[in-house]
Amino acid sequence: MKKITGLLLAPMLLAASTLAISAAEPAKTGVMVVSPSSQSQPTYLRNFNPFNATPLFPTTNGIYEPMMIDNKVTGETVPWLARAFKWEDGGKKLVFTLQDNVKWSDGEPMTASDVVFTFDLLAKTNGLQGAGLQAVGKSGYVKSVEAPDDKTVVFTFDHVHSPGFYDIIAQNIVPEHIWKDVEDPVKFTNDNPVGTGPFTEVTAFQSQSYQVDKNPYYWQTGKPYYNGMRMPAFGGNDAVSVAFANGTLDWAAQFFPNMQKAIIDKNPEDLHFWWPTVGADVLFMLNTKITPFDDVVVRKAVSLALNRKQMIQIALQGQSSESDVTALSSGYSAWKVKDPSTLGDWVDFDPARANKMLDEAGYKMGPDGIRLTPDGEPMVFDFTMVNGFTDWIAVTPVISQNLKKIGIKLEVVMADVPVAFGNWINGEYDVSMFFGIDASSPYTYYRNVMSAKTVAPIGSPTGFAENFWRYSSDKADQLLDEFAGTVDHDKQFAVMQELQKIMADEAPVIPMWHAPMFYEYNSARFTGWADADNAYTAPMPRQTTSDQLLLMTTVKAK
Amino acid sequence: MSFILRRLGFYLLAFWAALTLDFILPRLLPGDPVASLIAGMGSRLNAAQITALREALGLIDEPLIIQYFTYLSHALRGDFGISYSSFPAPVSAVIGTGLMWTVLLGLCALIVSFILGHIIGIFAAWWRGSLLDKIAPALLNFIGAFPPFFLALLAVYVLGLTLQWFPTSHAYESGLEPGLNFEFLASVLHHMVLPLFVVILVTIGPWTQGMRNVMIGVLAEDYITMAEAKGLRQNRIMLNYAARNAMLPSVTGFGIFLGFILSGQVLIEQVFAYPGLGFLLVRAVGSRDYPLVQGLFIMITIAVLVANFMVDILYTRLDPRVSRG
Repeated sequence: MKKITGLLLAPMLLAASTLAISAAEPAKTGVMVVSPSSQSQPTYLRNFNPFNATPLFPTTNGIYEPMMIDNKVTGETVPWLARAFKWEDGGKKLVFTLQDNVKWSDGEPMTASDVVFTFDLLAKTNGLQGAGLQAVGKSGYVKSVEAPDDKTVVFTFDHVHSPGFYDIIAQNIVPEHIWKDVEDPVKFTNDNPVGTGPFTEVTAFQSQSYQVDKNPYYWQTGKPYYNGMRMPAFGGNDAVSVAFANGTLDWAAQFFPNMQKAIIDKNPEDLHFWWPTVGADVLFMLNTKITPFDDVVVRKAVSLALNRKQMIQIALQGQSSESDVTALSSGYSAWKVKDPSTLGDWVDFDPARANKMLDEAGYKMGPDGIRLTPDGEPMVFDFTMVNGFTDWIAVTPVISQNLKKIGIKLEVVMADVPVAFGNWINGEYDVSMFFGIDASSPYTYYRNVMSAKTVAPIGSPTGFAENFWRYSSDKADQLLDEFAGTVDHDKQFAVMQELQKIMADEAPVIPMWHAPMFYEYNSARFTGWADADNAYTAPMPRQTTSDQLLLMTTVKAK
Repeated sequence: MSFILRRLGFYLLAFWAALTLDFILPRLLPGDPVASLIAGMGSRLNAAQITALREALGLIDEPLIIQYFTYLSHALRGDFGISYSSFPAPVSAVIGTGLMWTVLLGLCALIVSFILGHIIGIFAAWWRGSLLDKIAPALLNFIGAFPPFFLALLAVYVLGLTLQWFPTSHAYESGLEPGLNFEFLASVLHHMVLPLFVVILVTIGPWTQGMRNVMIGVLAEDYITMAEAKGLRQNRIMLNYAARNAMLPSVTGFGIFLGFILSGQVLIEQVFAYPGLGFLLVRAVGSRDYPLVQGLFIMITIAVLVANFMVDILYTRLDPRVSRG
C-alpha cells in the first residue's frame, strides 16, 4: 500500500514543488481587483448589455451612466450626465440640461438625442430592463420624451408624478449611433461597449477573469485616477474572503462572518470595512391575509416579543442597529420624524407586554402553551426560511423561541431561493423574512409597504419587494397620491410625516434592523476610499445603484 | 448486423425516453426561474420590470404539450435555447465553457485510475495471499465506498487548507491568460491535482477488484499451466497470457465509466468549484435554469448511450457469440 500512495503522491508533490512559484500573481499597477456584489459565477460569458437583467459589472453605472445620482449617504442628488433639472408646467414637465463636452468612449459627442433614443428604445422593445421602464413602459406615466436642442431633454408627464424623477435620473444612457443598428437589443451581448462612463474598454476577457480599463474620452477631465478594474471569478464567498485576507482583492461587497477578528485584525493597516446602514430595513413578514395577522394587536405583540439586539449580535456580530417604528433606515434621514419613539414603542423588547396585549385582545392560551385564534385554531405557523441565507438561518432559533414565549409556534420550512422568492411574490407563506425594500424615494418605499396598488390576491404575483404582506390602507393611498401629485418639497415632507404615523399605528410589516451595505477595501494600493470618516457615497460595488460611480471617480492609485 | 440494428433501435428508444424525462423533470421542481434572477439583482425590480424579464426569457404561458413538441424539434436540431441564468448566452455556449474541463478531468482520471487499478489487480492476483492482495483491493473498495463529496471535503481540508499544498478551487489561477505557455499549463495541472486525486480514489476500487478476481480465474486455466510447463518467463505469462485475457470484461466497464465522467463528477466538481459540467449542473438546478439543465442532461444521456453502443459494437468483434444470442 505504501508503494501505491507513493505512486499517487509522487507526481503531485513534484507538481506542487514546481508550481508554488506561480501561485501568487502580483497585481498590475493601477488596476483595481474587484469582487462585485451578486457576481459569483465560476466562468464569465461576455455580456455588457445594460438592458439585460444580469450584465457583467460594471456595465450599468460604470460603463454607462445615468443623468443624475441619488446619493443615499449624503441625501444629495448629484448632477452627472445632466448638469441641472427643473420642473415646469406645475410638475407636468421635467426638463434636464446636459453637461457640455460629454463624449462617448469612441470619441463621438453625447447629445440630448441619445437620451431620447434610450427612452424610446426602452418603450418600444419588449424585454428590455432599465430604471426608466417604470416611466415609459406600458403602464408608464411619461407621455413623451423630446430634445428641443442638443443639451436639453424634456419629459412630459400624463399627470403629476414627482417620484418619477428617480426612475428617470437612474436610467443609463446608451449611444444612438451604435444602438440604432442593433438588431435584437434583448439578446445583444455588446462585446465591445461604447459608453460615457469612467471605465469602458474591455481589454481582457477570459472565462475566469476580465478587465475593464478607463475611458480615454472621459468627460470629467483627469478622472478616473486609476487605470482599470479586473474582475476574477471567485465562485464562492470563501474564495472571496481568502483573497481579501491575502490582500489580492481591493474592493469587495461581501458579508464575512466575524469580519473584524477573522480578517481585519490580521492586517489592520491595509484591510478595512465599513458597513453603512443606509439601505433598507430587514423585515419580518406576517401574511396579513391570514388570521390572526390581520389584527394589528397581534402584529405589534409579535414585534414586542422579538429580541432584536440578540439577533443583530448573532447575524452580524453587532454590526447594525435596531429598526424604529417608521421602518426607514438612515438613508431616508431627510424625511424621517425627529424622534420615531414618539410615534410608537412596539419595536422594544418586552414579551410581558406582548402577552398582556394578546390576553386583553382575547387570544386565549391553550393548554400546551400555544394561543388559540378566535376560531379556536392553535397559532402554529410555517416560517419560510431561505437555503443559503446563513445570517438569517442563524437567527431562526431566536425568533422561534421569542414567539414561543408569547404562545405562537413557528415551524421552520427551508426553501431554495427560487421557491422562497416565488412564495413571497405570490403571498403563499405564513411568516417569513425579507431583506428589505430598496427604493430611491420614500414614496416608493411606503407605496410598497401599504398601498392598495401594490396588493395582489393570494396566488397572483406582486412586483418584487412590493407588499409581500398584502396590507393596504386607504388613508395611506390618499397620502401617497398627495405626495406624488406635488413637486413642492415642504408639502411632500408634511405628507411623509403622516405616512410614518400610519406605519407606526398599523405595523403592516415588522422592521427588524437596518440592513448594512457590505463594503470592504484594501488601502495598500489605492486611496480615497469612502469610510465612516469620509462618508461621501454608499460604497458597495454593485451595478443596481448609481452610488458606485462616485467611488470609482474618487479613488486614486497610489 | 441485425444485432447492431436491434441495439440501435433500443438506443433510439432510450434516447427518446431520456429526452421526455428531461423535459418533465425540471418542470416538476418547485420554484420560479425569474425569482432566482431577481435574487442576483438586488431588490429593485417592479412589476413592469419583472414582466420585461419574463418576456426576455421567453417564459410564456403555452400549453405544456406544445412546449414539449417545440422542445423535441429544437432538441433534434441541437438547439437547446438560451440559458436563463447566463442570459443571453445560448445553452451550447454555456456548456462549452465547462465541457473541456470535465473531459480533461475525466479523461485524466480514467487513464490513471484504469492503469493503476489494473496494475494493482494484476499483482494482487499474481501474488495471491500476499500482503498486497490482502490489503489493497479491500482498502481501495473501502475508500471508494465513502461518498465522493466527503472525500473531496477531506482533501480540501487536509491537503488544501491545512497543508496548503494545492489550491482548493477553480481550474487555474485567476488572472492568468489561458495559452500554451508553461505558467498556464502548470497552473492547470496544479489546480487539477486535488479533484483528480479524489476521482481516482473513488473509481480505482472496482478496477482493482474486478481485475484481481478475473485474473485469478484465468490463472487457473489450462493454458497458463501449459505456458508454465513450457518454461516461459513469469512476466510473459503474467502479462501476455493471463492479464490480457482477464482484461476483457473491463471493456464493458469503460463504457459505464465514460458516463461517470459526465455525471459522477458532479459533486466533486462542486466541492472544488471546478468549472466543469457538474458545477454548471448544480448551479443550473439551483437557479431553475431549465434550458441549461436540459442541455446538460441530454449531453450526459448522449455520452452514456454512445459509449454503450460503441461497447456493444466492440464486443461483437471481441466475442462473436453475443451477436447470435
